Amino acid sequence: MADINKNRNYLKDSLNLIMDTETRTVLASAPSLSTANTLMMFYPNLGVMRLPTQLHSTARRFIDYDFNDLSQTYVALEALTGRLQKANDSLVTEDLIKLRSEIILRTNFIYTLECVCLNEIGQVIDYAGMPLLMPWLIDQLNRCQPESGVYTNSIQELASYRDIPVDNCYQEFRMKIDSIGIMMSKNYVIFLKYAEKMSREEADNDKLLKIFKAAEDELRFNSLI
Amino acid sequence: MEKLLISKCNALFDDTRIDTVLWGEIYKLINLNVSLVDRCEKMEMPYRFESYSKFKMPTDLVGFDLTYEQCCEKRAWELVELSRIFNKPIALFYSGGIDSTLMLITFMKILSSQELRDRILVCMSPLSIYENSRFYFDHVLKKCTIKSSHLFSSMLDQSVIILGGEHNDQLFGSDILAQVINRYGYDSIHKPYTKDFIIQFLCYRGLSIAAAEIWFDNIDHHIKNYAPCEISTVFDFFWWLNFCFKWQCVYFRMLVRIDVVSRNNIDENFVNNYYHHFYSTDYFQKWSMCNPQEKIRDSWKGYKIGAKEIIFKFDKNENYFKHKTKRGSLSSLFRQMSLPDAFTNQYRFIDQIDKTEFYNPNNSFTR
Repeated sequence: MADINKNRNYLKDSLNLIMDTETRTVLASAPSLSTANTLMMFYPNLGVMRLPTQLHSTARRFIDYDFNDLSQTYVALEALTGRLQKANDSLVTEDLIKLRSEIILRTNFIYTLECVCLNEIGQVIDYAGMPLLMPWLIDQLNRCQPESGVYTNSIQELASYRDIPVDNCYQEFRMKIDSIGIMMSKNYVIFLKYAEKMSREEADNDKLLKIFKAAEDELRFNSLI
Repeated sequence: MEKLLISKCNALFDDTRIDTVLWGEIYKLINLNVSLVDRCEKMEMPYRFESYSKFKMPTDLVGFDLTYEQCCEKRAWELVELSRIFNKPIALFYSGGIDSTLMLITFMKILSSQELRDRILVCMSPLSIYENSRFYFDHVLKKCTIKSSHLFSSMLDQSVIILGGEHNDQLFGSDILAQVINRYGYDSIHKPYTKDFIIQFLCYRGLSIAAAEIWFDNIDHHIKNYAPCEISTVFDFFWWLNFCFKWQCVYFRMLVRIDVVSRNNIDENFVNNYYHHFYSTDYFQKWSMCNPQEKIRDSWKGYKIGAKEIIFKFDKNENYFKHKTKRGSLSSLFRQMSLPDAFTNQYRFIDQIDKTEFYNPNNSFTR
C-alpha cells in the first residue's frame, strides 16, 4: 500500500487535511484531493481542508508537520487560513485515535487504488494536452457526417496539415477519442465500484486488501494472456 | 453434460487434492488465465474440459506442400469470400504486432484499394500506432478505414465479421522459449529434449519435482504416442505444449472478455459464422507441423522469421524486420475488462464457478 506518512506533495499540490467538522480536529492528511473527497463517503462529519502549500510561504509553515502521526493531534483554529494548534488532551480520546488510525488505513487503500487506476489510462493518452483538446475535438467530430462526406472546415484543415485524406483524419481522431473515452469511463467506474466496496467494509487491513486485489484483477490481471 | 471450454484456473485451484495441486503447479510456468485442453483428447485434466469440435488436430500431412505465404493468401481469399456472401465487412483487429500486421498486409496484397477500404475495418487503439508506427503512417492511415478496437463488445451484433490474429504464436513456437533462451542460451532449444533438462527448467520456474515429473511424463507420453509429426528438440517440446494444449484457450480468450451486456450475442451461430481468427485453419496447422525449420533463426529476434520476411517484402522496413520481437499486444486490449471464471460448451459464462461441480476424478494427474 501507499506510504502516506509524509506529505510528499508539498510544493507541488495543496495539502489536503481530513477534518472532523464538528471539533475541527485534523484526523489525517491525504496525498490527493480525490482521495480526500472519497474518504468522506466513509464517515459522517468528515470534511477536507485544503492548504495552498504550492506557495512557499504556506509550505514553510507546514513542512515539519506529520498529520498522520498518531502521537500528535492538531485542531484548526480557523477553517480557511490553516492556523493550527495542538489539541487539548481532553479531545484526544481513545475513540479519536481509533478513528484516526482507521482513516489513515483507508487513505492508504484509496490512494493506492487511485494510483493504480490512473496508471491504466496512461496507455491511451498520446498527447499531454489531450484533456484540454478533447471537448473541442469531440464537438468537431460530432458536427461531421462521414457517411455523406461532410467534414467541418477545421477537420479538413487538420487533414491538410497531416497530408492525409480528410476521412482518414476524421477516423483517426474518432478512434482515439473512442479509445480514450471507453478506457477512462471504465477506469472511473472501476474506481467508484471498489472505493464504494471499501467504504462498506470495516477498517481491517486484510479485508480491504482483498477488495484491492479484486480491483487489481479487474484493472490489470484479467488482461494477462 | 456441461463442460468447460475455457477457465480462469486460479478459480479452480483446490489444495485439498493431490491431483489438482500437481496439475495447478503448471501455472508457475504459464499464466493463470490460460487453460490447457488437449486437442488430441488423450490427456485428462482434473476438471471437465471439452475439446471444441472445430479444433481436432489435423493428422494427414502427406502431400502437404503449401508455403506459409500461400497459406496466408488462401486464408485471406476465404475470408473475403465469406464477407462477400454475408455482405458484411471484416472487423480486423490490428495491434501493430507481427501477426496482425501480416494479416493486414495479406488483404492489402489481394484487394483493390477501394475494396480494402470498403471491406476491411481496421480496429485499433493508439497503442497499435506505437507498436509499428511507420507501417501505420505509411499504409494504415492512408489506405484503410479505421475504428477503435475498444468498441469490440459493441461489434458482436453480426453487423461485422470479427477477425483476430490469434494462433500464429501456436504455429511458430511458444513464448516460454524466450525464457529457455534467456537461461540456457539459444543453442539449448535445438538440442534433443530430455527429462533432466525439462524438469530442471520447470523447477527453475518454481514447480516442485513431483509436479515437474508428472507434467513431463504426461507430455512426453502424449508426444510419443499421439503427435502426428516429429517432436524431438526442446523447441519442439514447448511448441507442442502451446500448439496442442493452449490452442482452444487462445481461440476463446477474446470472446470471454466482452462486456457483460453483450454476452447474450454469443451463441453457436455467432461463433461459427461471425468470429474468426486468421491463423486457425487446418492448412496453417499442417504447415506448422511440416516446417519446423521456418519458425526461428539465430536468436529470439529471429522468432517468427517466416512471417517477418513477408512483412519486410511488403514494407521494406529493415528496422522492424531486424529488431521487432514478439510481445503480447492483445493484452492491452483486455485491460479493464471483466473476465468470468469460465465459459462452457453451452455458451454459458460462469462468473463464480463451483469447482467441485466440474471436478474430474479420472484424470492424468493421479498416480
